[in-house]
Amino acid sequence: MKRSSPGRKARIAVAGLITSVLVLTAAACGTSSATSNGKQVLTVAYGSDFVFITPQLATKWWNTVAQEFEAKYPDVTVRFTPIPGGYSDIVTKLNLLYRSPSTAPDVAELPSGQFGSWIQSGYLLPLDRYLPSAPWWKRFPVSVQQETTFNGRVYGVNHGENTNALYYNMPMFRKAGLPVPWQPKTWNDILAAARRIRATQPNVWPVWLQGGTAGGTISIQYNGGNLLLGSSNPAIFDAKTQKWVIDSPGLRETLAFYSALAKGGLQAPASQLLDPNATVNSFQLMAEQKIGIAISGNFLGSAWVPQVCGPCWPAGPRTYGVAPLPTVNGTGQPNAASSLGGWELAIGTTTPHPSLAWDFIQVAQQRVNMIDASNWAGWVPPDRDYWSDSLFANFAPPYNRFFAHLLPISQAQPNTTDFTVWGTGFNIATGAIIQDPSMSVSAAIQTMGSYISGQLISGELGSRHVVSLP
Amino acid sequence: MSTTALEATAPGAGRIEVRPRRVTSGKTISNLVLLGFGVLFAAPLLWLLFASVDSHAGATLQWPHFTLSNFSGAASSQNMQALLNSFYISLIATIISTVPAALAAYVFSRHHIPFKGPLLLFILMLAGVPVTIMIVPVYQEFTQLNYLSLVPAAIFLGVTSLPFEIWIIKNFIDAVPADLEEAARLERAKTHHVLMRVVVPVALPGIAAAAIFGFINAWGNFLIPLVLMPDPSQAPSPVALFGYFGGNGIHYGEVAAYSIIYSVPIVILYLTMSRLFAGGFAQSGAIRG
Amino acid sequence: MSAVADTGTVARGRLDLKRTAPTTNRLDRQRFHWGSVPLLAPAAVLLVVLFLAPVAYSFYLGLTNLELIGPTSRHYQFTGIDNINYLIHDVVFHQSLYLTAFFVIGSGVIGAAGIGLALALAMQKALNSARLLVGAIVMVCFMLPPITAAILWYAASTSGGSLPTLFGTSSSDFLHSAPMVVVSAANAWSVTGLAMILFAAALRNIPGEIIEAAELENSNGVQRFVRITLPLLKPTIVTTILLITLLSLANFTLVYLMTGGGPGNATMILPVYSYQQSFTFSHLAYGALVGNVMVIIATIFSALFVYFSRERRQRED
Repeated sequence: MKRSSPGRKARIAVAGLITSVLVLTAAACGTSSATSNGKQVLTVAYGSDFVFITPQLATKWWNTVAQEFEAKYPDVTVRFTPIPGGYSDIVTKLNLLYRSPSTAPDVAELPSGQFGSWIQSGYLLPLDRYLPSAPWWKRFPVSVQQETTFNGRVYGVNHGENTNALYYNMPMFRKAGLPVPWQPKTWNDILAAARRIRATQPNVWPVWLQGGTAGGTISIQYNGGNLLLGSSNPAIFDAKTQKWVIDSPGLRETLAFYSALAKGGLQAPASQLLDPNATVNSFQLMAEQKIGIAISGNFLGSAWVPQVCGPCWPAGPRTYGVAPLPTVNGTGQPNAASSLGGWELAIGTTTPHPSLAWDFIQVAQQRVNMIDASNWAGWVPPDRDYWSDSLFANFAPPYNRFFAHLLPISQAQPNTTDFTVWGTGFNIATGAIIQDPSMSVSAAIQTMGSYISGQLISGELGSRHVVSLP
Repeated sequence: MSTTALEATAPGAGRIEVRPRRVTSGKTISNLVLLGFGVLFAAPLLWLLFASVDSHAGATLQWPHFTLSNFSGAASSQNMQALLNSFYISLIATIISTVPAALAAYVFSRHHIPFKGPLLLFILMLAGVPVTIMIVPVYQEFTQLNYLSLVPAAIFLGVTSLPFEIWIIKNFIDAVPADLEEAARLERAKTHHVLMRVVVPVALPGIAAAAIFGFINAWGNFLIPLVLMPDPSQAPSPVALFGYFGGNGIHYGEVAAYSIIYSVPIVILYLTMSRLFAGGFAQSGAIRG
Repeated sequence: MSAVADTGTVARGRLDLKRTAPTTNRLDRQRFHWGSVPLLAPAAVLLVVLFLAPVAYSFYLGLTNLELIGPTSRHYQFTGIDNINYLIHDVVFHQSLYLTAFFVIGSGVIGAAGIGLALALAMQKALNSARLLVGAIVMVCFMLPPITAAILWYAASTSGGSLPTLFGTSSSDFLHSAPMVVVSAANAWSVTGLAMILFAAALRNIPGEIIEAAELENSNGVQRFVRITLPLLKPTIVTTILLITLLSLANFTLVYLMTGGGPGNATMILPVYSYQQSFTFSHLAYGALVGNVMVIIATIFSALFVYFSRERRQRED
């Protein structure tokens, strides 16, 4: 007696198998190819949610550039790969896209914070031979050019930069008897002002300074990184020993500032500061005038402009003034500290049409496009000719002009892969202090140091790659 | 069955005079326990309800400024396309996981195959593999084959539920008495014809349970579509929801409204199939009366 | 069927690996039928190509120095036990193991299964309306996609959320002061529904005669529960625990979206740590190794489950 003869059931199974094979094959036809309708296809990857202040502005800008480009080169069509999510999602997606020539974008919008790692992987095309045809390149500050230069070759061009400073609430300052306009000379001046605000207006949060791991290493650029740059020893990666710094007077001063805020009851609530979306939430919180003093980037001011509305707050410029963040003891020349970081445009090494890709970048870097990008993403355009251009300066007065002047003195953080490890350690330390005001600076440094030493750096145990500076 | 049996024999049951009082206090405790847990479980859901109708919704719980604009904003054409994509993906994934699982489960339950024990254990172990370690090799595989689109991603998604479903359906078929099949076979009926007519209907609750499990898994998954489907027009709802957070200026009200819209289909699915679902899972863990 | 026969079959282990078709009137040995092959083929092909191959590759990768980005992203080498050496000394990994155990056992096994059992028991005697309402609420929590659940719980547990308001001062931040407790609660909350319906169905199937017989002998509620209900529920309990363990072990999305593993490394359970190493720090190889550890843990759990099922069955035979 046969139990299961090849019968209807088996036939169904085989049919199912054939169907799935057919489905898979059908699905295979229809994804990327280098030509479409006989036209050449240029693939462009960009961050759709995080980079511009609103996703709608991102779509608007990129579509404008694509239309201009296609009008100029009718036999080419632009295909976008928008990348949703936040900073780390963009980095992860780009890392995955570059792994294979068929998915590597011809042109990509890359964050400067990780730029070194893409160069090291050999994914980016050197642009030196195209630069002579770009008059705008020479007008970039050297620090900006350096961001994309490695071993003397240039691998990307800047799309827009962020600089950072102090925002202070002018009505609150007046009420506290503090001078307006405000020009603090040392960090103690900032602490003193914060204490006055706390004494006179107990319902507001005197200082907004983020920390902790939830915001990722990118948040260091807008927050603690600025303090570190203004400290007596700003080194993150010691060039002499080629090692990551886990203890230095500069780090201690920075953490001491966090500690002073926490201990003195001067910081915003921990749950707000440690929120993964803290930066974005701050746009609204400041519009609600909950914050006395904040360290943040130029995108804040642009967010309140009516064309951007993230949120709409026309009263913004009248309420929050801006002042450069001073160095710790007021000894800087000039007495200002700001970190530098932004977004770059680069061409993939495996692109079949490098000169077309360069032409696209040229269109993106035209005056109106570059200024529009800066206005809608809250950047300073890298081209110094545009800093006083009315299209830029009048978009978010007085912020745009102010932050543009900070660009020449702003400094970038290391942009290699291992920075994420160092940055996570730093974030662990600042987060610990924010959450537990009783934690001492030494304990925080110890936590940071032991964490980084225990992680993998350059494929080896981190302890081989760290150094403490006297 | 047990409650009705108790109640049916309660009155006039002779020596058991104490029972009515015990039942009452037991009932009160039960109701209190149930409602207590109900409140606990519902508490986090409050934010979802309040924020979805609040024009000034934030990340904290607050009494809403009532508006329906969040729902209209959440129901944008892009988001609705994402919802449709979620349907396609989940449907494909469910078919891919349930049909092969049912066939394989039947074999594991009813036929003899060598090394069945270790094989089943192996499949069980697969159910505990995290997607995060599979995602990069699969991404590379799909990239080389040009499969970075909706259907292949949905197929892979289905495969991740496959081990669990085999196990659920197999346990279910185990609990079904084989006498029916034996009887059918003894009557020399066309084996497969009758097997389909006898086995499948009886096994249907278990298959339905497994299918719903697979559907829920596929509906909620965001990592696989995020990585394996670069085309934004094919993105499903979790990716669209995710997009609300990457941007600047989170619109919490719309996030809540869209979350509700996105969760409603699956709740409806459960409610309509709840009898089958509960029955199916029950079979895989106990016996039918 | 008599109650005795029912008890016998109810108590028998559910994952009955060796049981095949009834052997009552077979005299020949069971043979492998080639007709099984086409039925197994679809599942086998899909599993091998899309599941086993990546897992096997991941086991290999765990012993290399592949990075997502950087010099060894394209040309990587086999490095033998270097990664394992590192794993043994990795303090964060040890913490992660401990956190994962707390998470899986605390929130999954004890939390979700315990609450599920309590709910199922309470539903036996409660009002119909209460049963339907609470049952629906708990099932909604189970069915909510993880991203929604993460958003909800973030809003509910941070300063100003519904949980601090109900259980403490409105401004306290439960999430950041007791992160592991909150994410465990969130996991239990989202998984309890499964346990509840499994237990409810099993309880429904306990024959009324047994309970009556016990009541006739004047046993009280607790005795009835411990001596009768619990043993009859044992197969369901073991099944549920296994299911919930596996679900919780792989629950990456909820924790990642709520805390990202933080604050610091306070909620860095294994799947989140694997993701962090692979994608945030770009150490694909090391992240794969951490993931492989999870696979091994899942295997051990499954093997233990099989052992307990089989032992019970042998005792009953």
